[in-house]
Amino acid sequence: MPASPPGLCALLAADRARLRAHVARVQPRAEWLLLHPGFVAVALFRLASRCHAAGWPRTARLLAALNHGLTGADLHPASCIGPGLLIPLPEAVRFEGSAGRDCTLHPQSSVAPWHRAAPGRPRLGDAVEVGLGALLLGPISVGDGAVIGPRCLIEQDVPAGASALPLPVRARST
Amino acid sequence: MIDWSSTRAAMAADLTRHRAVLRAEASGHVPLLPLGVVATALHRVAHWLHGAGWRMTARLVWLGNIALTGADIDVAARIGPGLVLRHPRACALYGRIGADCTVFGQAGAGGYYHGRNHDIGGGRGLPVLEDGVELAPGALVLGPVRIGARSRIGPRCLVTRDLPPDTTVAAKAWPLAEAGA
Repeated sequence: MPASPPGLCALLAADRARLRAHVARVQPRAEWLLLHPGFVAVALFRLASRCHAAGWPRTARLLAALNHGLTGADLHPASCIGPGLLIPLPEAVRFEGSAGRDCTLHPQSSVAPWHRAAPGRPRLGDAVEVGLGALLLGPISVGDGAVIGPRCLIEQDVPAGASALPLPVRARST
Repeated sequence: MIDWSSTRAAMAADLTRHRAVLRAEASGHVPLLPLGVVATALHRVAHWLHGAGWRMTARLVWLGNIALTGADIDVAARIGPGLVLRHPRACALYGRIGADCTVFGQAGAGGYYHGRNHDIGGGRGLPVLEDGVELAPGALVLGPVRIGARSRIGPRCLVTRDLPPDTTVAAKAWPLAEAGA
């Protein structure tokens, strides 16, 4: 956490800028991002997170439940995520932990505590990319700029700049 | 077939056990009505309607459950009391499931895997999970297999054969490539 946390508008502006850059790769003339499911999920999470920090846990949980039902993203309001969070598609995204700035969570990814390991939440550094369907479980720390590939299962620490890539499947001739 | 009093008792057991599971976790916070309890309660109602002959209504409740909580629990699945869906989004449960089971997000039990579709008690091609089985996030049990009591299927494991009771299954960790590799 920086010394003075950025305001809600600054956070949302950073999130929106990242979503805009992401969408612009495939859709150069996208103007209207406010109803993009990824932006709805991030905005509701920022509101819930702000309510949680302000000491309104019930409102925060209500907003998180609304977010879960509306967009499919279960983002825990006690999570601490830096500016520039990008969720391209929020379906079945779960996040409970902390992350730095400019992180990316792809659909069906899960970053959460796992009670079979030691209790504790994952900590993500800056500019971490969590691929589609990846699972990051337990009290692990992921270094800055790490890339977690699609459907990877991570239960250990990941150094900065490292990448986890999925194993290739074998073709079976019939 | 299945009466309302046993349905209500199963819903009460689900709620009690879900609260106990939440209390044992690190944060220890117990919401008034966890989403997993909503999912299991809707399934209990759908299963009761299905057994009472209200099949279309049961299917509507099932669809509502998928839309609201994201849990796809077959209306015909026979599930013992005390089921905990810790994170119901993207769960799919088919077959027969014993009492006091715990299922995490994106986990599933289903069937018709590799064309094996005989019936071992859960329905054609569907698995049977005995009491106290735990499915970790992303764990899958596919095909007509029997998972022994109190077995734990680890994160993102795919199980397609029988397991004896008290088995713990874990997937291999993914290799990490260092920076620049």
